Formats: sequence, structure tokens, C-alpha cells
Amino acid sequence: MDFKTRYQLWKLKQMAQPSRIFAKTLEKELRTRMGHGTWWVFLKSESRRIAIATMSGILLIGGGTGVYAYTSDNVMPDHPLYVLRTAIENVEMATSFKAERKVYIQRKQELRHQQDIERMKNRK
Amino acid sequence: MHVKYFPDFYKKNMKRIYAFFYFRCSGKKEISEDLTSEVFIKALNAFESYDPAVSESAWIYMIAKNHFINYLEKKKYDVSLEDVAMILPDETHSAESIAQKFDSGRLMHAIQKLSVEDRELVKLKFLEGWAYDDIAILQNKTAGSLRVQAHRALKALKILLKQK
Repeated sequence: MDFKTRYQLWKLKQMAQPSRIFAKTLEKELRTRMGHGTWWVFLKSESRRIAIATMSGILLIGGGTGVYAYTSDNVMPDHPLYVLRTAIENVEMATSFKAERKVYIQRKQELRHQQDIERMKNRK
Repeated sequence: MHVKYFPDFYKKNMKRIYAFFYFRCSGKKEISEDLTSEVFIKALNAFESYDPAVSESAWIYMIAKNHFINYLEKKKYDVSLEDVAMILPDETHSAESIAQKFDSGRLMHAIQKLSVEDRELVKLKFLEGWAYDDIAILQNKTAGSLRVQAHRALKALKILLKQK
């Protein structure tokens, strides 16, 4: 195995590499001719596709869990998802900018907390 | 083949085709870029009619070779198809131009002194980056015999490089 000769050939081969600018320009030209938008380039990498699929899965599961935590009557202070529900309530309060809206949300949350206490008492 | 597979095809063959023209155009990047672009545009236009039974590499290589012949004819170089198939036209000039440009001059001169078959194999395998399986289809040989030939070609190249 003649490594020195192979290495010299490899060095010569590196000289024949196209520039990045040219490669990108040609890619863009071909993409335009194919009628594709930027998604073709973005998604051509398999690792990117896997990352997007994983993030989408996490968002879907997280989003579904969040909806359940916020809307379900079973999520009370002793429930593992109560932290998530409290966080969503805090976000709801923080994103309401009108004073009337803030008052309404605060009353709604207080009422719900009272109902939680009642349910916990009845459960015991 | 459906055009949705073209991006992967392009990614796989772009550097090889660029190197194919680079070593045949005296290392001139602008000409190599132009010819590479033209070849892939041709390939894109013909991709729908490409038969997957034919090797991808062989298909794009034939397009590149024919395109290069047309280019040389336009430039009015006196060349025949057989010349291009086995002996690349104006190779001595190409070697000298690249040799003057880069420190690999000795290597290019040594490659030029190899036999026609060995020279072609060294260029395809080690300079342009084709796989043995692809070269086997291009040259109608087996990958195993090409490996043996490449080993001998490298030995011969090593001896040539040691000579003053």
C-alpha cells in the first residue's frame, strides 16, 4: 500500500474541487429549473430531516400534554402535570395586555383553584 | 426516473464531473464550471427519460464526455471519438499547464508517462473519485481486475516519481 503516492494523488484531487459559491449557484439554478423552493435544499440533508421529525414529534406530544394539563379537571395540585398547567396559566396572564382581559383571566383562574380545592376535599 | 431523485443524483456526481472537466481543461476553473453547469442542465432535462437500469455514473459520464467532444469541436480541435475514449485530447498540454500552475507538476508528468489504460484508471479513480464499480461499467471490466490494475499503476507511478 503506497501511502505517499496515494497522498500525492489525493492532494492533486483536492485542487480539482469546485468552489462553494459555484456549487451553491448551480444548485440554485437547478432548483429553479425544477420549480422547487428552498425546502429542497433545506431538507436534502438526512440529519436535518431526522431533526425536524424529532422536533415535530416532541412539539406534538408536548402540545397535546399541555392541552390536557390545562383543560382537564383531573390535573390538580397533587398531579404531576400541575406544574405544566401553572406555567400555561402564567403565560396566559403574561400575554394578555388589556386590563379587562387580565382581570377576567385572574378571576377565571381563582375560580378554578377554588374548584380544585373543593374536589380535593371531596376526594378525601 | 422521477425528477425528485435529481437532487441526490446531483449531490453524488457533481464533484466528479467538475474534476472530469478540470483535468481536461488545463485546470481552468471558469471553463470547468461552465461545462459542469451545462452537463447538469442537460442531465436535468433528460432525467425523466433516464432508465434506472443503466448505471447513474455511466449515464452522466457519457453526457459529460459527449458534451466535452462537442465543446472541442466548437473550438475546432482535431479529435476523434476514439481519442477521447482512451486518450484525452491535448493531454500533454493539460499536464504542462497544470504542472506549471501547481507543485504537483511532477505527479502529473508521471501520470502522463503511464500506459493509456493505467492513466485513465488513475484519473478516474484517484483524481475524479469514481468508484471501482462505476469504472467497471464504464470500461467493461470487473471491479476486482480494476483493483489489481490500480495497485500496479500506483507501483509504476511510484517508480516514475522516484526517477529524476
